[in-house]
Amino acid sequence: MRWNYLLFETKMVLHNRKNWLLGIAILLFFPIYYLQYSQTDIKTLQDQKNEEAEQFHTIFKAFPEEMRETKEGQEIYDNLTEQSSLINMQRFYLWDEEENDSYITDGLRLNELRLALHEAGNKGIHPNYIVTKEEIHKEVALLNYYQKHHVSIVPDPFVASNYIPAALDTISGLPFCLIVLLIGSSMLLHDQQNRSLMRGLPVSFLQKVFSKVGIHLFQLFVFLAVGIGIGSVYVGLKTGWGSFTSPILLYSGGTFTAVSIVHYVLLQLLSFLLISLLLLVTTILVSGLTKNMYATVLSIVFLLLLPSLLLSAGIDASWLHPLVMIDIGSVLSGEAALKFTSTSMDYRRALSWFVGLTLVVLATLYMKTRLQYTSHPSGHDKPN
Amino acid sequence: MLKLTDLSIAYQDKIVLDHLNFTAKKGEIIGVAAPNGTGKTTLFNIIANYTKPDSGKVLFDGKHTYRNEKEEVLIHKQLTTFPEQKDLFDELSGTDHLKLYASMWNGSSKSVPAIIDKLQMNHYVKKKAKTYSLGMRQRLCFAMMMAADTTVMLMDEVMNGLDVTNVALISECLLDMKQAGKLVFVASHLLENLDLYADRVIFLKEGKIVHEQRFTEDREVYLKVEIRPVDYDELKTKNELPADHLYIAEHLLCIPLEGLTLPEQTRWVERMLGRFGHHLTVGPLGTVEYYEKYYA
Repeated sequence: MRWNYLLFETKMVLHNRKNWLLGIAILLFFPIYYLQYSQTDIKTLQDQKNEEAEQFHTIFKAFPEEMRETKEGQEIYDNLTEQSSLINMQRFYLWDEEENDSYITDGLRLNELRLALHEAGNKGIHPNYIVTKEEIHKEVALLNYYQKHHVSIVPDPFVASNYIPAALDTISGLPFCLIVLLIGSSMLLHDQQNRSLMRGLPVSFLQKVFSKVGIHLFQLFVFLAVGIGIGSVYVGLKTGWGSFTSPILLYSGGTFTAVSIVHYVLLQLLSFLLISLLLLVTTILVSGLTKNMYATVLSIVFLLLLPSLLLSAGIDASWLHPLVMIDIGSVLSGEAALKFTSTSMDYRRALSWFVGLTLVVLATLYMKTRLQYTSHPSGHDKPN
Repeated sequence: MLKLTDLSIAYQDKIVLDHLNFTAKKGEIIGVAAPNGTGKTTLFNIIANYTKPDSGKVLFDGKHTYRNEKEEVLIHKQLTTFPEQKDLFDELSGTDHLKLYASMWNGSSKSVPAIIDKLQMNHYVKKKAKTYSLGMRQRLCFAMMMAADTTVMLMDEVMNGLDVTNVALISECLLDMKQAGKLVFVASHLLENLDLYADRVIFLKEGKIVHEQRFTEDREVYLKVEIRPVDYDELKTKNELPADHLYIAEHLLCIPLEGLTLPEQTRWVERMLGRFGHHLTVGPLGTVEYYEKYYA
């Protein structure tokens, strides 16, 4: 029966024109967004090192002369001199790929020196020119990754391997949630509109929920996979495939680690899967209450926007952090942790929350169904 | 097979079912006759657990009742309700609808071609449901019930929108279902048609079963004459009518022949023939007559 019901739901999903339109939108997003992405001014490693080297003129100029007369001051000055020298050497090494190892060795030393300055309290350095610990850890993570995996340290940001995670980050958050909500909004529609046909089917409510959620999830991921495929082929043919083993920074447990792009994309997709699952079951729960697909979508979107609205109103909404983590792109990149000053906002916490919230919603659906058989109804008609 | 005990339901001040009790067994077709708004659909909805009664219970096979969802699914494996025409999926074909019901209840759609043949739906069943006429849709709804082939079937307004040929076709299918041991409830406005296949017809009024007409038992025979109220009044003054005679809907006088001696019966027949001959019949009361008795 379950299998037959699943087949029927599949047929209904295939007949759903709205979902096909959304699917086409997803498929077109990946090649079209590239047109904008390729125009973005992305800071290359050369640009970054040049900028860092430039800053040293000001750093030395602003360094208090009287401090150099103390032992501590002299040590800091020497540290800064060595840093400047290392950065200039790095600029030189960037010209030759053969010198990757030297670039990495100097980079690691540079960041050791920066950390040493932090330990010394960054005395005598203008606050605008202090490299934050966070930036240091990010760079060390990348350098260690380059050293371990022997990959190019000067990646082209416009190749397919670098574009895909960027594109996924762009749709993460509200745009992705809207797509999921719109695709899932009609899950209960035919149960409500074709009621006399559907309500007597010998299938339990939770079996219906699992079938509907499963098939919509599958459809969404087919669209996403095909979209990524089309985007990759388009960018790959246009600018190159790049390397999916190149590093990308991932925020986890209050620190940054460098992981391969494949790892990062898989994490993005796993997050999307869990977010979709949570949103689809929530859609079913809310649809059961509102009986209206537009009201369902609007109320969930409002809920998702609530943390940002409260934050802008200056109201503490830390208890709503699980909802903030729906924007998984900012969680993986560490932006969310920075914005909400919470080191716990990493992907592990986010995924646990998504699983936990999904279980809570499913338990609510289960209890709601059970209560229909135990409580005396206030209205006579049994809901779907 | 099915036992309804003490069912009551009221919407605000209106009592729809009032401590209703009823039992039915397999192989029966039970007609439900009542005007609109007297609780036929509510009764079916309660039997299928689409509506919760204020009190009372529905018992299947002496053990299953709507205690929890598991039991509801168990009961629904044996029970189908007649779909409403407006609820058919416009974008799906008749075959899709039949396959859905056949596979959901029987796990296979092998029976579908035979049902299509039986109900003469071959010429349209592969088209989308949105192209169907009222009669086609109604036949499809009935075919879906046949495809589900459950032990208990609740058919509300099954003959709606059907022409004479199709009414006959569906009546024949209903008789086949009875032969196959199904318990079928039929609510229909075609009261004379109910007499053809129903074993019993129940009449609902003010939430209760006011009469149960059994076609399988010996029924009282009446001398039935169509007369105007003026003639009835005149007849009453000139003759002493039997105490249990009926004057239904101010047009049909029914004199029970049981209890009268043969000469008395002959006298009444002669008297009636003399005055109202062309409107005289002898026989038991039919569903139409009972309907008029209770609702006219």
